Amino acid sequence: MRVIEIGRHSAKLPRGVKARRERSAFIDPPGEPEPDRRAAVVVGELQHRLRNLLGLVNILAERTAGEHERAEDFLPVFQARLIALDRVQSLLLQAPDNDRLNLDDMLRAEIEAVAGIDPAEDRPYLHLQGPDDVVLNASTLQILALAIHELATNSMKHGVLGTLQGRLSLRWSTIQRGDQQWLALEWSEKSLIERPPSATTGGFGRELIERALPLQFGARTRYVASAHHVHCLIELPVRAARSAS
Amino acid sequence: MSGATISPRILVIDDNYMSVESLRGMLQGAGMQIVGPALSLAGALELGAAPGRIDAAIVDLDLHGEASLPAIDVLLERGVPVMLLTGYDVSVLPARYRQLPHCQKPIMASLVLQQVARLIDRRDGATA
Repeated sequence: MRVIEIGRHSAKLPRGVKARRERSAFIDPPGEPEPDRRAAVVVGELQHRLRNLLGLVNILAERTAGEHERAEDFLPVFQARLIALDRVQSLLLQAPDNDRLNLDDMLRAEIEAVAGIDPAEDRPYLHLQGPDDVVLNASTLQILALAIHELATNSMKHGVLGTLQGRLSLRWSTIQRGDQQWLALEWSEKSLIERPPSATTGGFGRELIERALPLQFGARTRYVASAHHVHCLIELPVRAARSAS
Repeated sequence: MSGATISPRILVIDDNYMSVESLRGMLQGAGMQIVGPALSLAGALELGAAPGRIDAAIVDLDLHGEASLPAIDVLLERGVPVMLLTGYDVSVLPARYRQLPHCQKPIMASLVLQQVARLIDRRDGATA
């Protein structure tokens, strides 16, 4: 029995919260810090990020262990998720501002890694379309990348990326609503080959999309899967790219 | 242990979904109920002040870049024992919060449960 609705306060997140950097509210001094102090701030920030990342790995392990009892089933799934997380980290480190990254870099890297194909090449069954200047922060990208990883892995197993039959379309754009900019990301997959009913429940990927993204980042999402279709829409509040900082 | 048959109600304040779910698993697995969770300071303040029994609270220090200290104050004022959850070194905290029990992230189930059990015991001892 669920005791209390988990989503009660999701709507109360202040606007733009997800785009803000994760930062210590305690160790960031006001104004320009002295060099020693600045080094301490950087170390503190790194420590914070590292612990958060390890926390995420810890939970991934718990989650994957919950899905797969036998070690030989657990290991490949866990490793694939860990490597997806590592891919985002590498991309973030390569990015000029290593806390933020273009969405399309992440999407392409994820599809490429899971399906073993270059998504830039023309393929009748795969279509990626969207602006290349949508920038997201590290914590949002991590969860989004894990979600895309799950969708792509599922597609490799049962859908278009594996069978090369049908069509997978991944489209994104930004929308202005009032004073808030939103990212709309749509995964639309139409497979000619039927998925087994067990492959339409969505699993961990669906949980990330339907619960993690709304609760943590104020996203609005929809996920629908049937024997021939997977349709997923994610709308995330974002900060305008490269605004003053 | 007169309250042994009533499952303890633990307020969870943490801005990270995965972390919340991990805590949910641990606490429910140990027969406790989750109150909340609150994922923002506004939500934390509201839940912290809401009527209803709270036997202990697990509070992440950083809620989307905002310190959760105001919520901790509300809880301590109403006598709710608080355990801190943090990715930081607690030595950067103001003195009064430094004495609170804490768990560093990444959290370990056995340690969290041990701390929570201790908080509840202490509260039972105080109100007995």
